[in-house]
Amino acid sequence: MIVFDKVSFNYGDKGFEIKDLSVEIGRGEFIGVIGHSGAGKTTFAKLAVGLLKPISGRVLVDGMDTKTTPVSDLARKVGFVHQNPELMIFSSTILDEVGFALRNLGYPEIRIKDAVGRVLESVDLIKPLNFPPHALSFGEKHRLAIASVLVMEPDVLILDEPTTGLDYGRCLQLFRVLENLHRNGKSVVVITHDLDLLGMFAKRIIVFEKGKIIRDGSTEEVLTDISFLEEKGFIPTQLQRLANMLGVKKLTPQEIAEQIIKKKRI
Amino acid sequence: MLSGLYIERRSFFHSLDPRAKLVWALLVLAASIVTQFNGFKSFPIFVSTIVALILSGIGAGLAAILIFNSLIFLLITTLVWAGMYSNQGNMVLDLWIIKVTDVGLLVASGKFFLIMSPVFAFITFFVTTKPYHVSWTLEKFRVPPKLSTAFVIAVSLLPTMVKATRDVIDVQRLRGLALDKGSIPERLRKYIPIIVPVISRLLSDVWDLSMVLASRYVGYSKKRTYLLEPKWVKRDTLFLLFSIIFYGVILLWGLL
Amino acid sequence: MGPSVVVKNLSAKYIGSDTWTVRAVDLQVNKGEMVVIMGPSGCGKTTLFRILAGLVPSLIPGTVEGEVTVEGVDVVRAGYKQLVGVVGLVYQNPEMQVITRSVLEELAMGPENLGLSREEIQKRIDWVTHVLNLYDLLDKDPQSLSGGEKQLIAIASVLTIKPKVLLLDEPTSMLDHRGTRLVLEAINQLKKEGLTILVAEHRVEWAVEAADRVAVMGRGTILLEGKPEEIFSRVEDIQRYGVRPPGIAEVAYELRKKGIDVPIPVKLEDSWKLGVGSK
Repeated sequence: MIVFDKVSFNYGDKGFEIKDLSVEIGRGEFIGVIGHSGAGKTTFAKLAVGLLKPISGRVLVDGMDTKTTPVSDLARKVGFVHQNPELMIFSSTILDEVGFALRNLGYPEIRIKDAVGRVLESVDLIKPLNFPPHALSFGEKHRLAIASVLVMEPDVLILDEPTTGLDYGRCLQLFRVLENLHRNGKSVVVITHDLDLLGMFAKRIIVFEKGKIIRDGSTEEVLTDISFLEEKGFIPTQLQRLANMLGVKKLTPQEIAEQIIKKKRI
Repeated sequence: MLSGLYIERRSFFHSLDPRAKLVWALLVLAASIVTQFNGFKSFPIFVSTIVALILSGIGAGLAAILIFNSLIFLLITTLVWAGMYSNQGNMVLDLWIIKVTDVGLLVASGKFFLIMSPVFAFITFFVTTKPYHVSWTLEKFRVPPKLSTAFVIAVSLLPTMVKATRDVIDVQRLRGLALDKGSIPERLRKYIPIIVPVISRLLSDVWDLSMVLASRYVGYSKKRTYLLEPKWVKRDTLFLLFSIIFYGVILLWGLL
Repeated sequence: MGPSVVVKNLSAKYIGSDTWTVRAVDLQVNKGEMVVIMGPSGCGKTTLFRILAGLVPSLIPGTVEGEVTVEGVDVVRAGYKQLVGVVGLVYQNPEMQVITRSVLEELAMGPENLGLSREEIQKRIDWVTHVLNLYDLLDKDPQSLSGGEKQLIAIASVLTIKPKVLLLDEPTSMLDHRGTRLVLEAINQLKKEGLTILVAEHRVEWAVEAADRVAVMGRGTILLEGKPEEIFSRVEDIQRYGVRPPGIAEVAYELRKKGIDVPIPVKLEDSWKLGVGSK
């Protein structure tokens, strides 16, 4: 679905560089992208949606080259939700805000209303269409931002640190929405520091360091590798450590409890 | 956040005492005002500010960008002012409705330099002086501390706004916003999705900033201490003397 | 060690709002204690911190009822200007707390504004540099630092005003793991220096190790309060209140659901109680 083919990129100043990056994001995946700040995660996301163009190599989105395809066309395949939802919001009603993209694409009003209603339901934002966006809570604004991107019906959704500023309950709610989208066939790529949530929901983990992908594997395989995580400066969770101590690759409390019973530890 | 216009470099202008630099910028302003009707006399002022920009270590590249962008302004200025003085002096260019006389050219270029020279001079000042030293200098020039703090903050918020604007434009482009299509009124309306988030960001930044300034007790004591005070050295005296002579001569020439 | 912070029946609401953001809160923190406050957004912890820092109602208008004393000072009546050397507040976002182009300027800013002598200012900078190990950062431009380092400088800049009580409002929520480690270690270090610390944090697994006491807030009031072992083992309760229990407690809870009688540990070192690892 999204193919990075020997992509190289830098911002011109010395230091940060992506060199010969090759990776693929397929259909129907749930991927967690982790790495310290400055490791290249946001740059990677921006390259994937065409906001940045590779200096050499290609980024193909459903076969389209990001260098030659307009950004708004790419947006119908890959949606990008920025870390700060308030950067997008400018309208006086939810309908206008979410429908903005469709209006730009020239859709008729009836279709827009319909599409907006459906997408709001899918992100669990139950509010009247004429509700003012600035009166929403921060968590609701986040879901609004996601809805504004989803309304273009992309196959892949990339979220840049969506858990910032959200408490645990809201994070769970958000991830459940993402899981639902995943179950309905979309690919979800979440850039985050929250290893707990990734352990619960993500199927694949990509680890960035200094512009390179240093690990790419299944969630269970990557997140139970405590020595790797600690060496790279991450803080493993208690569940991850327990799994490691038991020598199993399971990350939910239920599964770990089962393993404890199975291994006759108790 | 408050990164300001300051660029960390080692350059001639970076090493000067901020008081000397501020006096220099004010001299540029004064001389430009006096010579605004005669571009021939204000041209050396303009050249001196270009030299200053180069001596600020910000690179000929940035200076070139600034000059290039100002050329459009030059063109507009020339047409406007030349038009106003089209019945004075000898005709130099007579094209359809554009009538440019030599007097018109002198006034036009004088007006252009009136704006550009002080702008470049103050850009040089802010690029080479840390905000900390800017407010220190303003205080030395008897500007009330609250005013100087407010001014320094306003200038410093500019780069943050520039970055925020770029982020907002990116995000809205992804939603299909095409800024380069459509009639003029349509295009102006298209800026709303950019202006609204940027302003709301500005407001929330100002709010955040006021909380931080309160916790640092800005304005608490009438007599603020400065741990790191610039020291005035011989080089500063020489620079100041040279500036007074150079711009003073031009000023007198302009008054003649 | 007597009480440092005494809050009695505190209720507060912002101007123009009908909802009480803080309702009937009672809290006491003793000198040198570290209390971690947890709870979902909107639970009132930020407002509580703002009141303790003297920002509400003197800077941010609102109605405050009840008694709030910090180090003997009635903060509501005094206002933040009188709280120099009493309370310091560190915010969530490192980007907005670092406002100069030199770390030294940043650290000196507070004491400079207070009009202290140059010797005193230098002494305080030296102290904070030593306590937080900032030697490598002193000559750097704060804008070039990582998020965690910026947050460290933000904490240091508050410390140069020498507060007795330090409040940190979600100091790691915008940081990556490296930055989080840096800041949490700094907080641990400050505890050793004898500061009274209140932290609003969602990282339960750190709180169990570091906190003397924990308070869970919800809808403006304190729902649970006590030692970490007592609070975090109540898995169902804290889940209901929007707080994530420590992973090990969740596992123990699952085992109990299957009928196995185990205690509910909260620290990883107690994993042997579940038959994992050794004592």
